[in-house]
Amino acid sequence: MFIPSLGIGLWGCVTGVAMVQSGLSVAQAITMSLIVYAGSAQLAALPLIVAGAPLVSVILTALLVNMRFALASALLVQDFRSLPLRRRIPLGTLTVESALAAFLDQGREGRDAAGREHYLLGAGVTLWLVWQVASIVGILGAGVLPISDAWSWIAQMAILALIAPMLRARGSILGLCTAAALAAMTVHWPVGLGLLTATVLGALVAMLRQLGHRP
Amino acid sequence: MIEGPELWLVIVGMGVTTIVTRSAFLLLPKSWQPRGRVAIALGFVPMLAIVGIVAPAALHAAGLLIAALWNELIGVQQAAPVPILGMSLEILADARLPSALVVLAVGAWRRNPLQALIAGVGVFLLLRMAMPGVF
Repeated sequence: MFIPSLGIGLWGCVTGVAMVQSGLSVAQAITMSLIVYAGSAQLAALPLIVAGAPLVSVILTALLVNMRFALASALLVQDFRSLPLRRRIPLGTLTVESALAAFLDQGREGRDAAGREHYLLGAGVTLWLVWQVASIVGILGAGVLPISDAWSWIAQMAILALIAPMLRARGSILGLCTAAALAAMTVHWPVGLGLLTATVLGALVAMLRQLGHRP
Repeated sequence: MIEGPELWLVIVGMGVTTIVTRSAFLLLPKSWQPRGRVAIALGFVPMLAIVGIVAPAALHAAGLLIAALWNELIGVQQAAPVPILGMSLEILADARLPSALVVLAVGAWRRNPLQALIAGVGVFLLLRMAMPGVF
């Protein structure tokens, strides 16, 4: 959990600083961090909050940016569908991308159903705590922390490092090129829409490539 | 600026979107669960979402150059001449794309995120030291 923690920690700190610099009070920023717990949605919503956009459009933007989690949640179904609802919802909510990446990479091997649940929940709770502490450090230290673009890029490299081993899967490199190019080209689209398009089309291309190689 | 009670409402609403999206397929009935091709495609989603988040920063300088070359190629009249040679140098000086590629290559080769990150940060810092003043 070291790399995911480092990535999510730096990311949380950057998000915390951004919330306060946008004009949220300390209480508001901490509450947002605790309740929303989705860095990309928070960063996307901030400019809209500052601009005084309609409430519905801010919430819809968050929904759009978070839609990729919905797609990712399908990967949990196989292992956790039979859990009662009161355990399924917290487990799903805590499963951020880096927890899911770690789970898919090594959390399943040699574990029974209960072991897998414990692994994912452990990863989820750990990353939640790291995120909250880092975010609060960012919120309280917004004026004094030497947060520069370089730190934000190191945080992005840390989450990138997590998914790099997955590039061995057939089709993934083509999917990566597709998603990267589309994400860069659609960066001026309304928030979240470009990322969602890039992810969906990249996944489609990767899937076709993988199937095309089957005997 | 959205303020006061309205802002609290926005925060709670955004929190609901997190819970609903992260648990989405865990809440849908059995007959809605993905199979076959859809399941294979969904398997790529977490990885590609992360790629999509990082890509705009990594490809920033390269994108500027491609846009300039494209405009040159199709003969769009520029308000001011675009210094394409200067831009090429600027891309070489943007440490983000090379360091991202190093992270991906080392991570895929060694299957170890820690080694990938150390290599990427190393390349990033070295390039920044070699070419100060640019990203």
